[in-house]
Amino acid sequence: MSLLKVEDLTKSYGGLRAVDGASFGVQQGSVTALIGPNGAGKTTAFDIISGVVEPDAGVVIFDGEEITGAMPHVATRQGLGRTFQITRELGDLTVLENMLVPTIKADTRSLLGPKVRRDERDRAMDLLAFAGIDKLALEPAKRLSYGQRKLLELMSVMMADPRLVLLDEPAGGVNPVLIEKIMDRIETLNGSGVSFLIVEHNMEVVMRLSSWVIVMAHGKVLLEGTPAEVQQDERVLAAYLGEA
Amino acid sequence: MADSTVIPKDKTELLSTKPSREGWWLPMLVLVMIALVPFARFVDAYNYVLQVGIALLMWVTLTTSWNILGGYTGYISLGHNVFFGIGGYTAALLFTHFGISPFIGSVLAGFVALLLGVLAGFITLRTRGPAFIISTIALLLVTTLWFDNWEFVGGVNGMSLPLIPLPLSFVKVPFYYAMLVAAVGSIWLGYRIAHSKLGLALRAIAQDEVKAEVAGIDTRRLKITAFALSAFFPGVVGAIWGYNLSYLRPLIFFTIAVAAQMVLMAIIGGRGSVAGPVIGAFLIVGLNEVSISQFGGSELNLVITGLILVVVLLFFPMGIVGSLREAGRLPASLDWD
Ligand SMILES: Nc1ncnc2c1ncn2[C@@H]1O[C@H](COP(=O)(O)OP(=O)(O)O)[C@@H](O)[C@H]1O
Ligand SMILES: [Mg+2]
Repeated sequence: MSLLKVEDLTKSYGGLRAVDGASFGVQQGSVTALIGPNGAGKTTAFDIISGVVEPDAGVVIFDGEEITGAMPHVATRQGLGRTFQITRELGDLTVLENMLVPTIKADTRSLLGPKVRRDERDRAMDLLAFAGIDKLALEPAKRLSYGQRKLLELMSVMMADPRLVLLDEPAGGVNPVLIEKIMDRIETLNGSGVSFLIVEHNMEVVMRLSSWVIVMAHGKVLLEGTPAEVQQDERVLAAYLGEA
Repeated sequence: MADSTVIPKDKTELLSTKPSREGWWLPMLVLVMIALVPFARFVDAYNYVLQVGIALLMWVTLTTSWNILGGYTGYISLGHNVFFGIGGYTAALLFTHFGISPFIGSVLAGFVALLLGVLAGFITLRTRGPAFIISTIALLLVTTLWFDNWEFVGGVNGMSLPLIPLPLSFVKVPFYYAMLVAAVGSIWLGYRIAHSKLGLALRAIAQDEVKAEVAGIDTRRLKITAFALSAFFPGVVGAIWGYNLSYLRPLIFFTIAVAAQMVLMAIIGGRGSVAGPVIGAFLIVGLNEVSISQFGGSELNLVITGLILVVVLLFFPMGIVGSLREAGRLPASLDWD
């Protein structure tokens, strides 16, 4: 069953078709990779799916419900989380506060309730400890290094208990030891039922985690298949070389 | 990352889920002293002292309310005195036409301001940044024009209210306490918001609206909520102020100088903090009083006030509370966040 389905997504910037009629899906329970050369339109596809950018055409269906063009909080509230390729931490807020923002619910009682509940704090601190940044919990997020910001973003997405997480280059700028830990974590979460769509240039990560790979080039889906199939396909290599 | 910034493992109480009460005695002591001022009936110029107190508490309320939108949420309004004025006129009309005392009417005025805040927020919050500031100025201009030409409330000449039926040496006392209640109420509201998830959401909005949305926050709804909440107490104190003056004219309420003063006090004290606007109001009202008594109500007074403010901002670029906190030197008694 498809948890996420996009059909004919199209988005132009000026004369440039960043996403050009892309259709693909993410199976419930899977880790799916979205790869392709720089400028293929992967991040723009994420922006459309999460509601950050409105598409010129196409539909986004999450868990059977159309969310095309809805405000980002709609997708998030339905269980679709995302991270940004270039991190967008809330720099003046503390690391812990960044973790707590996704716990804010829409109902008045929650809004007027205390900023941090004990269970939320413990959960946030556990996740931060996992990422090795718990000792920085009370520092403004702007003091974190780039790799730490990537980790913070990944961990804060988890605070909302998403069913599907879109990760935009989660390993970019993160040291190899942590990449290993992040992969473990993704596998664990996936084992407990969370689905992932991952944009990643690190092929080791893609091959180890994903059960399905979608390849994009020039805004279109070039092909999709199992990691082994995609690895052997010469069109993929050609697409990456064509970029140079 | 300097090691000195790391929290020791055993200091997890720093991560407390409850706000600290450390240093609370000082603000409480000040509050008690303020509450006792009307008992000092022996001082010369008793009514003048109370009148300064009334204005001070009014400014505390106005700038603290403004801070919910302009500080926490990051939307600078230069039209917030609209709610101050509408509160004043609402209570005045309730008084002259239905005989409702403005002290009771002030609560109704607050709710009228709140509802208009929803409407104004609905319209102006379609913009952000400089465009938002301009749209709030437009709101102020339209409101001024409306009141200048609304003969039912006297147009530019305004309307007068019956004086409060009390002996002269007591006339200021009810206004003083009414303003005190409003000031404490607005600080309480600001404090509650700052310590709630709503406050966290508003601060996230101030930082990065796209990120806040992606984190699941309905930014538009909460921005309008912030706008409405920040309009409530200005409506309340407008009602009290109008009755205190016993006459209302558009010029008293609807000049942009009133809005600018709210902004200035919040910035000097520390925009976005709970204590900042309160400190800013004390500082600027105090400065004005001292400088008027020293130099008279001349231009010199304005120049000196302006100079002192420039100097304060040179040393405290993020406002007094903001800069002290950044330097790690904010005393617990001023840290209400
Ligand atoms: N906001 C934007 N304005 C203009 N062009 C953009 C914008 N975002 C992306 N693009 C362009 O769209 C194309 C696809 O970009 P992107 O989706 O970031 O690709 P990827 O993530 O696959 O590297 C690129 O050529 C990029 O320069
Ligand atoms: Mg990208």
